[in-house]
Amino acid sequence: MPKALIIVDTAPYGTATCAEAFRTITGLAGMDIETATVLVGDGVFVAKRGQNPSLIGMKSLEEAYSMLGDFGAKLYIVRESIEERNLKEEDLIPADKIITMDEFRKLIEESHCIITFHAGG
Amino acid sequence: MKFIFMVRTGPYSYQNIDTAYHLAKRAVDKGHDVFIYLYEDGTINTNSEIKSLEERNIAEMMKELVDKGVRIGVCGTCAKFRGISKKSIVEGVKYAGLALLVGEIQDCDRFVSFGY
Repeated sequence: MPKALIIVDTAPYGTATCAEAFRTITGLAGMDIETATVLVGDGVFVAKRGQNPSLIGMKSLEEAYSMLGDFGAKLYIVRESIEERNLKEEDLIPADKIITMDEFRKLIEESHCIITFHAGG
Repeated sequence: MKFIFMVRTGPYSYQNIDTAYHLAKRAVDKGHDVFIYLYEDGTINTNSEIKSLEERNIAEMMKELVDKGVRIGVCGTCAKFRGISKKSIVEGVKYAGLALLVGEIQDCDRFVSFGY
């Protein structure tokens, strides 16, 4: 079975990127593709507890990403990115694992297809 | 070898669709199997109403790929968000969901994603 790796490296709001990533993750995982998500860089803010995006008319990505396990998708968060942003694990929604950059590299090596969600331009 | 190129950006603002076009064209010419999946703003690349004046016409480039045997699919949900209907896309392009991509992923040899 192919393994899909979805890399999210941008902050949750301001663009549709993280919401689009969520749709992709659930779509792939829901169709029996072994799917893992890695939050890295500013992507770790997607997992920050206490989001209230109703103020800007958007749905909560904290709630959405909390449900990834229900779709059979794994959620990994990169430790170095958490620490760089002065966050702690308890500030974040539960992940399947907090991984190191080295473990992230191994996930990349093992994956059949990789889709990076990065806001930019 | 079977290639999948996923393109997530629209026409003209970025070069991604052009890169995918050139790669796909060369790959099919060499006998490879190519599937292009257009996702998010990438769906706009198949809008048959594109009028590019003196510039290259990307919708026509998509049609050229279809005619050469490249299979192209657009994410229907993404297209709907952008007001692109089945009727407005280039002839021969499939208007479908992620299920189409999943089916193609199963046996692909190389998957390349073109985003930002």
